[in-house]
Amino acid sequence: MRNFWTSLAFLFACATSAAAFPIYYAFDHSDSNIGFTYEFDGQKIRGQFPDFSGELVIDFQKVSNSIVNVTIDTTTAQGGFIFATGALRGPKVLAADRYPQMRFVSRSARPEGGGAIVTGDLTVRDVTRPVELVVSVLRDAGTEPTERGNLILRVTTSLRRSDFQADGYSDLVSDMLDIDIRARIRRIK
Amino acid sequence: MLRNSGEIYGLVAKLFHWILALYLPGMFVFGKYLASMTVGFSNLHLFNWHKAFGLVAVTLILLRLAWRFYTPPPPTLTEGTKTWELQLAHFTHIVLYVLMLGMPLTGWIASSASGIPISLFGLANVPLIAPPSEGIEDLFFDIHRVLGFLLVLFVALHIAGALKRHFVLRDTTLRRMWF
Repeated sequence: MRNFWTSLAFLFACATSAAAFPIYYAFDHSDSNIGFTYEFDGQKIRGQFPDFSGELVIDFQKVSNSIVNVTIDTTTAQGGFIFATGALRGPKVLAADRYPQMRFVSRSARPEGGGAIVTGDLTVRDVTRPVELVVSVLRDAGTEPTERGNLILRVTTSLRRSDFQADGYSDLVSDMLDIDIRARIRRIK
Repeated sequence: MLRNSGEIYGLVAKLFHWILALYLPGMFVFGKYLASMTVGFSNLHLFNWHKAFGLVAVTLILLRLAWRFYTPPPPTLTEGTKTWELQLAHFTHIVLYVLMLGMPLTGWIASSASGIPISLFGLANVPLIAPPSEGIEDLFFDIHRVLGFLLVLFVALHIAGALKRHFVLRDTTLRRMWF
């Protein structure tokens, strides 16, 4: 039933209390994926960052209290096929040997439409730029609407590689990356 | 006869010479084609082929050098040639060996610095011999290109010398390298 999700957007939109009610979550790595899509040779190629860690606090009553800090391992980044993986980790893109981590630190969050917008700083190759994440919080089909313990985050945004000086192979690979993150999160306290 | 004798080249030396005589210009043309082609999924593997064939070239050249030390070539024919011509021929031979080794080695270093793995025809990944570095990659690919043009130049000089000996001096230099 994993293919059926019910949006918890109303949890943000219908929050009636301004009282802080933060819930701490841990990422379930077995069911999470930080993916990205780029264009090469006219085709959309999907890569991923399989190794990441972070902390996540969601306040469903006061979304602005929510916090997400994520550190992503660039040394295990995967480009979608073997040559792309080498190039992705190589000096012209992520320079993973020199910059083994990327980091996202949230600065603010607000409810937006059916979900939330999280703004923060993304640091890649020691270059920090503001990034806006579009976040949806979903729950497994069949679970109670009040479910908080086991949720799915769907996060999307678009980035320009050149903003982070990760613009190698620009004659072959699109500058624009579409980020698509699916993270299962489990309440820890 | 496999080994070189006092007068003629042996079969192994001849094979090394003529295989590399075809192989290296082929690699040069291959490299020029790679540099000019529009890169896509359909031809991306050609870069790896070029690298893998380049590593085969290193192996062949090292084997050829080892064979040369094991069984030295017959002495250069001097009759009818001027001293400077002999010196130029000797210099050309040395430069050719340096270039034949330098070409694939600089390509290997540049490829290693790119961080992109080199697969030896899908059998194994070749060790990377330089740290990931855009500066090293660009520098050694530039050197790789320059060495390629120098190799063409010195091969042309080598051929010109051989043809002069064959058609003008009419000595046996070219014939003794033939089968």
